[in-house]
Amino acid sequence: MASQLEFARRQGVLSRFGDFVLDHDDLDDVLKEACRLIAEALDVDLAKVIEIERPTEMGFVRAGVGWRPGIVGKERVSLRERSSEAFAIEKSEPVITNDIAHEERFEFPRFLRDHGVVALVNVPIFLPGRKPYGILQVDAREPREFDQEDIEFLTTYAMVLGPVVDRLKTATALRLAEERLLLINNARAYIMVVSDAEDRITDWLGGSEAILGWSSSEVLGRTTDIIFTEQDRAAGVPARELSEARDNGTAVNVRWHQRRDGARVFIDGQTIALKDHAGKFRGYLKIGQDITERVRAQEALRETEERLRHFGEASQDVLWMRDKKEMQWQYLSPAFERIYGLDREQALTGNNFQNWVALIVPEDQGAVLGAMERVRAGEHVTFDYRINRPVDGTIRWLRNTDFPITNAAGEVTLIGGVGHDLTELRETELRLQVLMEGILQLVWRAESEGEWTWCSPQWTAHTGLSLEESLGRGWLEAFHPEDRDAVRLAWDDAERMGNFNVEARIGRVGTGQYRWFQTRAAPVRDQAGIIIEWLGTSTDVHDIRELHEREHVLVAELQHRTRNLMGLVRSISEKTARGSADLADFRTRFLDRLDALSRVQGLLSRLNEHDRVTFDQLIDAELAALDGTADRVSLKGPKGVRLRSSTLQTLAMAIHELATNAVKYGALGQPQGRLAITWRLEADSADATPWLHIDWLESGVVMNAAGENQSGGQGRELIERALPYQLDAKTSFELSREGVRCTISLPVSASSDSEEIVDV
Amino acid sequence: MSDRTLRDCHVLVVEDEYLLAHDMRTELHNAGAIVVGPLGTFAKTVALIETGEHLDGAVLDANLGGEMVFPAADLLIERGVPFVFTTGYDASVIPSRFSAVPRCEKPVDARAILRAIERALTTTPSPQWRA
Repeated sequence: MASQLEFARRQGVLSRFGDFVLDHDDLDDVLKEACRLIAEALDVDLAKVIEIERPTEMGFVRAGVGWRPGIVGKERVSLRERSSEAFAIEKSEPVITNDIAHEERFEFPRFLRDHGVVALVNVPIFLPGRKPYGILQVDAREPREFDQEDIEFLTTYAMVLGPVVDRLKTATALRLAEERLLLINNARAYIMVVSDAEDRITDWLGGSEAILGWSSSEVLGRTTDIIFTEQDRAAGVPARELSEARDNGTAVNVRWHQRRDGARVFIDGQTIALKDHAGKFRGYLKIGQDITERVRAQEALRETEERLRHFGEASQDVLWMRDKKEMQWQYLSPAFERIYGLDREQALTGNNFQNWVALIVPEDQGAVLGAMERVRAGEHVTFDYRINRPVDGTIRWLRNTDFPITNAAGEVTLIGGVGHDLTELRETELRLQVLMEGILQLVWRAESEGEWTWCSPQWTAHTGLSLEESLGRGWLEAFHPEDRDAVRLAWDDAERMGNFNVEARIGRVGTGQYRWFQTRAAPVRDQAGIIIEWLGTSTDVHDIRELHEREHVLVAELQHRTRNLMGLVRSISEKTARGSADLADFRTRFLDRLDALSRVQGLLSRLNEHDRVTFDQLIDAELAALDGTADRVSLKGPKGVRLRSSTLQTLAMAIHELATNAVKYGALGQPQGRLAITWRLEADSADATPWLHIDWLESGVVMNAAGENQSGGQGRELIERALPYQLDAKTSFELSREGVRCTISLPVSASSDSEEIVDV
Repeated sequence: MSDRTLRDCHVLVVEDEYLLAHDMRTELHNAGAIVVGPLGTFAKTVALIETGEHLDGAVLDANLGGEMVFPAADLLIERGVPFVFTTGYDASVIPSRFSAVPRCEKPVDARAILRAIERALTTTPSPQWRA
């Protein structure tokens, strides 16, 4: 029987627990104090609170006193059948075991025995609504008879404990909810907008203010359509989204929104319908992330890709991409169709690498496959090849530049390629080649300073130097040794002058026979103006040059002759004037002499370079001018005696004076007169120079004193003075009773093909 | 004036055309000069100059029957004898080393040649005079 004192003590315990509970709201603190007080009240060492863990059907030692470490907050006990705790909960009343050694209803956890527990009471704790919370257990280390008062006290204590636990658990849950809300509110990367059933904004959480620009106070009570763009509002998007959320629970909200300042912001989120426990619709939560940066980056990327695609579509070259492994095309630009004459779709079907290789002419396939292997190994390659267009059987020349494309890890995953159609270029080159090899000029190409890289077959044909022998400076061998310095000098200046131009002799090597060539070269420059190479030609100007030289000599000679002739005419006119009686006499004599000069000029002008006037031609011309005298003249001598051109004029004038004299006073002026002209050719014994000996013999002439005077005039001076002076001639002139006898001997041209003639 | 400068001067006349040579000789003679020659060939001209005969001046026809007179002209320069060319050619035929030598283009008036010789005699001091 508990004494009155004992009852008071127990009432005090309850009171102190009440005080403690008022000051504390942590469930663990409260339960621990509850255990301490009950142990003290029942005068035992050990007490604990076991909380039901529903999912595992275990009891968790939530609080306790007197236990060794590792029990409270750690240990769990089974709540299955044969556990005293489960039994107490089920019975909803305290269950007493006075001595566990003799207890046959239950099995006990090992740690109880380890602590020397002998007797125990399990008192169930119920939350409001008779929801079981757990067990308050009091453990004694010696056999103990728990009496009715103990049980009642424990029951009362457990009944107090139930609502306390309930209150503390709810408070904790609320606190946690608030804490979580606070954490959520800190998620500044998200907009979180809560609105009520009429879509009036009640909460403006997280990054809503930062992202949308409105402050909480500005938006509370307004509808959520303020964050939509004007276009979306006009199109009724906000209302549609709300109704969709109401109907389906959620609605996707991924679109551009509008900030307070009008700027656009892209939100990726959704609108969620909020319902309470009873499922009643209460409002909306709009939640979403600001992904403006990402969207803009994607748009930029898309634009870049679009631009690249435009490049590919517009390119005259074929652009393609292949995967490295199978070499199949992943992209092929439209230019493929124009160049290959094949449909792109068709070209991409099947093993399109094999099909492509099959289009390449067989001779080029090996080189192409080799290039493909190199590019797969990571090289950039450029290679030329020909394809055979199936559509018309024509050959096209292509130049491909292929290159490896690497991924972020630096591995080659793709092969890119640019294919350029060289066909027209090749055809132009071919035409140029035909032209260069077809023209008369010797054509060649050179790098700077005259290092030849190519020469045409004409060069080889003219010089005998092969292409290989001519390369570098080998060509110099074909130039005349005297001209080589000039050619080298011309190259030294070529770059500075911007051209190469030299006239020099080029010949067949080893023969010593050269011809004059005009050699010219023009530089080929790149876009920066740098000389890439020289294109040169050597033109045969030998004949032209000779012609020019001859022309020059001829012009000079002509001038010389003309001026000399003028001097001669002048001199003749003066002499004639001195020997004339009056103007009429002068006129006759002067014109006569001019005619003789003209005849000589006529003979000279008909000559070619190496021709000579022959003596018989000279005589014929002179006698032909004397009409009707032929029957009184006899000619005897070889034909074809060639006279030196320089001697012709003077000799002709002398003959003319003789003839004129003969007509006026001598053999040709009198019926009985006769004239015999004989000539012969004889070599001079000293130096073998041929000499022409002329004998002019008049006969049957009746001499008179006047004739003698007259004939001694100009003719005689010419023969006796001028011919020896000018022609190194030996002459004699005498007047016999029969008439004039004159001999003239003069050296003549060495080459003469003379033949004897008898009596013309 | 011309009489005074040419009087008793020994002037060599080289001209292959007899009539022109004859005219020249007459003109020089009338001007008081002592004519040496005239000579009509290159060989004779060189031979005469090499005899060392006293010469105060010379008239040289550039072309002597196809042969050019220039080596003879070089000999005259060596001897310090002033001279003039008479020529039917234009100036380009005469070597540039004779650019200072007066030239009379044919056909020339014999009096024009006389004036040229006078000028050559007075402006080109001969080494004989300097000695």
